[in-house]
Amino acid sequence: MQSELELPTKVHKVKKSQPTRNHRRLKKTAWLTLSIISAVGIWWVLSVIPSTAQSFPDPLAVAEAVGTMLSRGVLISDIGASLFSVLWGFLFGFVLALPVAILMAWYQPLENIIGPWIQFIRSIPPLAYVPLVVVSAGIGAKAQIIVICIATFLVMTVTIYQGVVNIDPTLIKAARVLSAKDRDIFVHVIVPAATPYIITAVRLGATTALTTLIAAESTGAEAGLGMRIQSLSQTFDVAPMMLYIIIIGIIGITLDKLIRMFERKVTKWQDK
Amino acid sequence: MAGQIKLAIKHISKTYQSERGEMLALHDINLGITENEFVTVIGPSGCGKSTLLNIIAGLEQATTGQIFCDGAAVEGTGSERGVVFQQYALFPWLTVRQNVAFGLKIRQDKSAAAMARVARYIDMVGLTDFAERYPK
Repeated sequence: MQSELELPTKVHKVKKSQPTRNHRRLKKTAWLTLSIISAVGIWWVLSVIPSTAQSFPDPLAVAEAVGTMLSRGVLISDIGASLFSVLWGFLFGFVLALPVAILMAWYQPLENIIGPWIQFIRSIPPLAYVPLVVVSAGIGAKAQIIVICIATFLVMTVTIYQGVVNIDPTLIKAARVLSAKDRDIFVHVIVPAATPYIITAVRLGATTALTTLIAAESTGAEAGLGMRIQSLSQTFDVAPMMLYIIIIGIIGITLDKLIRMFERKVTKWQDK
Repeated sequence: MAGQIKLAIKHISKTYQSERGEMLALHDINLGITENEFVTVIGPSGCGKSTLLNIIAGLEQATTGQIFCDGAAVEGTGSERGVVFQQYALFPWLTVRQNVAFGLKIRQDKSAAAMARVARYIDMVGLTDFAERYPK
């Protein structure tokens, strides 16, 4: 007698019980708190040890610096000016990178022509071509945005290109035999398949934008985190310098978290 | 029992160009497949089976020769020449149902009749309870 293979007729969803989910959140918060406390602890130690004390002003002094910079009226405008340059530079970079990367991946001749130049310019630290940009674009936000745009464009183009090029060709063939034309393939295969890579590109772009910020603002900005750090370094005012460095880091983490939240919504089909 | 020839493969040849020179993959293949005929192409690895199938499906261009389906010459791919691939051709960002309905989506067929067909095929393989799941 043949035994019949029984397929499950009903699927029971296993719901994670409420206490377990809250447990996990509590654990995560506990770990995060521990991490922050340890970091501040190490920082305090570093601010006391003679060999590192010069670089690490003690945490309290840095906390006070918040008040100082606020009273000087620069803290908010610095953050605002930097965010402005970072966001616009990144946006322009992305809007250019997406089509260029996709076209390069789709048309090999284009990659042959543009590819080497992307690698070439990528090898040059932004700090080196910043003066060149300032000479044409003048001092101010425009030059900063251009520099950040260039740096983020290069990084994101390379990442998105890799993403499109790595799309499983079987999926494209499958779409073709189901009568998909080029436009259909673009909308229904390339875009969804490349989305995870595009998100990665966005994360890398955001990071690059922030790290390029200092170079960009060295062009002589009126306000901004990078510019202020430079002027503070001339007076060796370490406490506010450290504060600004921390602020840059916080902006970085916040941007990354926001991007990840967006990522989870858009790629719920991936099991991460 | 000679039926109507549904798929006519005439004088198909395929030569590949590479840095190492030319490679003749297929030479003057002629084949007529009638309706409801079940044909198996067998041969050792690298003999050109996949090449021939790709050409029939329209995924590759023959160097010379033509394929005729129902008397008409074929250009490129088409849903009258469907393909089941060696690898999984599942779109990971689509659910089971959406995967099955992909061809209909391309043809912009959202009719109730189309959706019913999708449901029928899903049921046929016992995946009705998994229809909204992702392939992973």
